[in-house]
Amino acid sequence: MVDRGGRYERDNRDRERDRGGYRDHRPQHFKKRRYQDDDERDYRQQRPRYEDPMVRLRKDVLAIAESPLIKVEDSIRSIAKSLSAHWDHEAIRKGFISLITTLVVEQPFKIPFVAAIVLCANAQKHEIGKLVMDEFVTRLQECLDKCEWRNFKLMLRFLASVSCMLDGEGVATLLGDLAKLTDDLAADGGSSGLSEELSYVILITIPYIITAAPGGITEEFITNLIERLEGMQVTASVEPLLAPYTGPNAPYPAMNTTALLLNALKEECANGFKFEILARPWEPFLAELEAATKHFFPTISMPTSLAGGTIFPKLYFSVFQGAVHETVPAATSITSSILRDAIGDTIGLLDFNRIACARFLIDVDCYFAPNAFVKRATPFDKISEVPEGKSTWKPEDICVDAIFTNIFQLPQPEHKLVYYHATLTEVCKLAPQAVAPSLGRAIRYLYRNLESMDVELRYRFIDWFAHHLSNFGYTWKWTEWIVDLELSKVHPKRSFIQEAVEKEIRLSFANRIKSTLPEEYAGLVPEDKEKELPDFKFEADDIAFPEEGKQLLNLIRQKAPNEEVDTLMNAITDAASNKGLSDPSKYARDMYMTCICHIGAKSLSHVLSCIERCKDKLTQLGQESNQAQRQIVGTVMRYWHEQPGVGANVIDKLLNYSILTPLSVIEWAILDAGRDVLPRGHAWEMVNTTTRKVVSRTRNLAAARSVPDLPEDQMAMVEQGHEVAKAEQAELFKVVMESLGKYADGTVPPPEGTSDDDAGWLKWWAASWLRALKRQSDIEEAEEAMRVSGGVADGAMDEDAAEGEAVAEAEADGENAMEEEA
Amino acid sequence: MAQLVQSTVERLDRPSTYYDKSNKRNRDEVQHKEDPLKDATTLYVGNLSFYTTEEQIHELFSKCGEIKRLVMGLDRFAKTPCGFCFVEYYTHEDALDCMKYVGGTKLDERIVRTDLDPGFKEGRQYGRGKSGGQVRDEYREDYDAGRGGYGRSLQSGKEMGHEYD
Repeated sequence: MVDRGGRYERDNRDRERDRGGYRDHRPQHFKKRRYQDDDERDYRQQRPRYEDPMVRLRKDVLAIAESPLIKVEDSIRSIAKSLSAHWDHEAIRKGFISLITTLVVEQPFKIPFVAAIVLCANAQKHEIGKLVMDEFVTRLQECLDKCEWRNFKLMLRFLASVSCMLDGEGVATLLGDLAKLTDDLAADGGSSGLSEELSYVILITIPYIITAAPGGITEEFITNLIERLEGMQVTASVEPLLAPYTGPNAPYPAMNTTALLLNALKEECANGFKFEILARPWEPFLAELEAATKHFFPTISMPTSLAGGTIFPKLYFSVFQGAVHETVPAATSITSSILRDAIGDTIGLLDFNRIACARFLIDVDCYFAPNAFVKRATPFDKISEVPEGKSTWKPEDICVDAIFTNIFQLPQPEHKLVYYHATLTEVCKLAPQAVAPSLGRAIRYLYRNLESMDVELRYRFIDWFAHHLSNFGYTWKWTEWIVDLELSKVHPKRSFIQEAVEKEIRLSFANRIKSTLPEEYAGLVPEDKEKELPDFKFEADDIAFPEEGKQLLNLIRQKAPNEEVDTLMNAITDAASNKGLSDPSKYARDMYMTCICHIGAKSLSHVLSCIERCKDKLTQLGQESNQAQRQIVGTVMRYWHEQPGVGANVIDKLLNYSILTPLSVIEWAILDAGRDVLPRGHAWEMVNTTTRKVVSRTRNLAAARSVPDLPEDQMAMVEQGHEVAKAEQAELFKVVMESLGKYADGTVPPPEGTSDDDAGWLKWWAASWLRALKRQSDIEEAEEAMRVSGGVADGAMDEDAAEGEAVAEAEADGENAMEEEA
Repeated sequence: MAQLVQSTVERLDRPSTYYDKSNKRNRDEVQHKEDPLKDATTLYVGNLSFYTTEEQIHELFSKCGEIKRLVMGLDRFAKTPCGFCFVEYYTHEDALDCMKYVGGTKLDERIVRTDLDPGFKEGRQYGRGKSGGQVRDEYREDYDAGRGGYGRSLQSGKEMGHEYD
């Protein structure tokens, strides 16, 4: 890993450089400036020749437990010694405190080791322990007040790990108070998920307390605590919609991670709390630690108000469940909960450096008990040779599993999906031999279970798969899926293959992807996909008004005056009407949009500038009716039918220009495009992007309402805007639910000639779309309900009154606006 | 938001030294001024193949957020893509995420480089090299099929001496 020291060392370097010292050891790959334009980093950064004690200390603390070649107890001893020797220097005190408070919330794997350093140093100089405790207590209180649960959990874990230097019961009182808080929240119905989060925080601290050097907390206390928390569990109403798999063939039932943890701990109660997975770096120092000074642990005050939105329950996800060999701990075991928590936090916290994150994941076996895993990169088929009683857990599998857990987290993972893609890529780059086979097994597992997978997760799977392959030369054993090419196009597996190839092409180009696929797949990449520009359909003669089509293209291309365009279009409508064609205006409309697509076909910028230029006419065309907008969507998608991804992008831009309404896009996809579009990735993408846009607009307006000191007239506008957005959103979801509902229950039968099997799958697709969109809709409704009730809870009566007035005013404004428009 | 406490590992969402360098002369003077990249929503993207299309760039970079504008870098004379572009997002956060998650990964089978940029200005879409492309493609000694083969100066070997005529 590069430059763990970051800025601090860089400053030193600059000083060195000023002295001219850097020239002596210029690295070999030093390059002239003109070559550096596009290189990764400035190679002139140097290692300082002289290290001050803080730099050294920082380096040593950061490297704790990282190398399997250095005995961790030696490192702990030497750091503790250096710490007590230099403790009189303020820079060391401040530097060390700041370092470990950051380390604990950035690299949670190292908490037990940092705790051991502090315990050891405390035994040598009790001021160290005192200062560290005071600082962590302050931070802990801050996290609690700000409802920063993850940081709170990790600070608490650290304090629990130094229990043996805390006087009396240490953190026991705090845990008791937290349990009481949890109880109060749960009694309120626990709708925001906060009570579940809190009980999770308490429960996951337990293994660390028990494993830490002996402190004042008894097993009896812990057992009671677990029992108390068990009585407080409430299930969130949204939970059933968050399950990754549904249906009779789901690989495992939906399992809530807090429930799993609770049950595993209960089991541990009965088995005498072993927690064998955790490292015990303090063990060699036990005698010293027991003799050390203990410090009084102050009271942490419970927060008076808890803010911070909904916390969704987390459900268990794994790509290695039920394999022949147990390469990851069983879901119900405490080890599984402990590892998933620690690895999950590492991934969640280190999003600002995916390469460092990947390194930690690869090194995961350094941070837990020795021999807790099989040797790195042990092949799957060699697991059977592991002697009885030894661990069969593959560190690679555990890490890959943890990353996939994030990708497949509903409703949304913590970070953008692309972060997890990138981390998997880095893990693969760091240890290809070890990780690639694990990934292969993961992909096969996911593929096998496509028929039970949530449609949103299915799309995430496709998106990740194509993106991942794009980083590794598009190599995959496609031959093993050849048999599935025979399946119907609407079968989830066949559709997966199609859409994955489609996505690959979007990241690359048709010919390149074709060259990576076996011959059998040639049908998935037809010749037409290789064309640079789609055909302009008015070039053919078997279409209405071919000559006019070409004329219109020329007019728009030559930027002819609007009158000329209008004259031609009116003439077409008249001609269609004279011929007695139904809906005569649709011909000119379709022609106009097709021309725009064709003129802009060269690239996204081309089509954007063309839309920009013609946006008045386009807006006018769309305003004719909702049906007209649906037709425009259809025209664009027809033009780009070989590259529907490009079409979907164009639609998205038209949406941004308000040429199309969200409803028209959704209605086209669900009502006009034909049922067999449901298995298509671009269709899901269009609908999902559109609903999310609508939802985020409503949310933004809702947030704008709570801006303090907003002038009354503005407030009225925001209020009105929010009401309108909410109504639109409700209408949108209503249409979605009703239409998909009818497909799913068979009220609207599939098109004539659909085979029974296909009809079954089409129903299945409709049902899974329905479920995914219902999830979005339910979540938004719940959030809005929370916002309303939250407002009342905070609320002074006057505020409500003001709100009422504002709404009344908004209504009045609304009427005026309507009049003006008319 | 300013990072008050130093992280334990380097952050990938920091501007490279490229931007610093251009200000080297008056670094001390500008220090008290606001950081022009503080709210940057634009990224410079480098090391693209000449053949990579806007659609491909869009496909990858929209994974970090909706793209507001995409400006392809062009050869000053030929007006063809010359291996870089500017991607503008709607928010600063999306731009930072792109630094963290996309910079250093592959697009069109090449590792792309991203850098925060104070914003696109007309004229910046053109290569600043002598023959119209990017400066790095003038003097490159390696063969890079995605970027027009060898460096342009090498290709027209004789011309190299002309500077001294």
